[in-house]
Amino acid sequence: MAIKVNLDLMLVKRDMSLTELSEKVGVTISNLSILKTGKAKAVRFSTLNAICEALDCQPGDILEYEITGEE
Amino acid sequence: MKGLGEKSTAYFCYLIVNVWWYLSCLMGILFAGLLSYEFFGSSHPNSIFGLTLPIKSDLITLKNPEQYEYLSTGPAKGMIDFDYILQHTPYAYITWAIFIAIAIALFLLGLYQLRNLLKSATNNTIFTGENVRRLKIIALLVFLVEPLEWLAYYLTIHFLGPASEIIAHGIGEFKLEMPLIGSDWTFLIGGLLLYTLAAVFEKGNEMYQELKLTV
Repeated sequence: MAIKVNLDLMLVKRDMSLTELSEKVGVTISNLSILKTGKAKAVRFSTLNAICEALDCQPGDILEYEITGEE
Repeated sequence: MKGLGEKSTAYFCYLIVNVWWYLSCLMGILFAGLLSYEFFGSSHPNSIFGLTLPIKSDLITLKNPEQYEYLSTGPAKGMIDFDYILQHTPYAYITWAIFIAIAIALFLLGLYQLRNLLKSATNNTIFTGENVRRLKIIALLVFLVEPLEWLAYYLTIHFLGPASEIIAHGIGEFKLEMPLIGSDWTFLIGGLLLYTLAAVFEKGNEMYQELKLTV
């Protein structure tokens, strides 16, 4: 996948645990883990909005486009 | 607990197919038992099993010749008693018993797949890879109906053809019908439709997996 998720990096920066984020955003830990490990196929705008609000950041801080050879 | 009125259509279909499945299993066991009884047991001239063969229309005569004025005869079918076949050509009987057993087994396999498919529908897990496989199996079995029918006719010709005494004493000559070349495309179309449905399920499964990974 060319889209890299930097959620773990933002969590470290904000000194927040995944459980804490899960409570604030209202998304289950397993779903956040899917997002964090890059297994997610799609992200809802509402989820992205809630994550940005909880971490006080921009979508670009969480998502990054990575140029890979295969695509 | 849900009331009867709140149950889905799939649930009622599952109930019907489930009953059908158990009855078919019972019938299959009874059939196998009766075939074995015919083979190993004593002679029963009035057997309930028989081999249906088409009879040429010119071999059929009306009891009263005056009836030809207003009646014409078409092709008819006659049944040779399995007990008679068993006594005259036991090898043909064994082959037919094996053939029928295979046909019943294939039918039960198809019904079992349909039952499980509907069961998963009642559990709201319809779009799965397993169901795609089930639909493909059912489609393949539907495709097999016509060739199996043709094989049945081939077996009839192969085993009963040389046994001229059966034909002479029994029902007379018979001609081979070729259902595969005939105009009945029902099973072929049915099989193709089921394959199309399997493709739809495959896409549905893909979308369901994607939905599961949507955060």
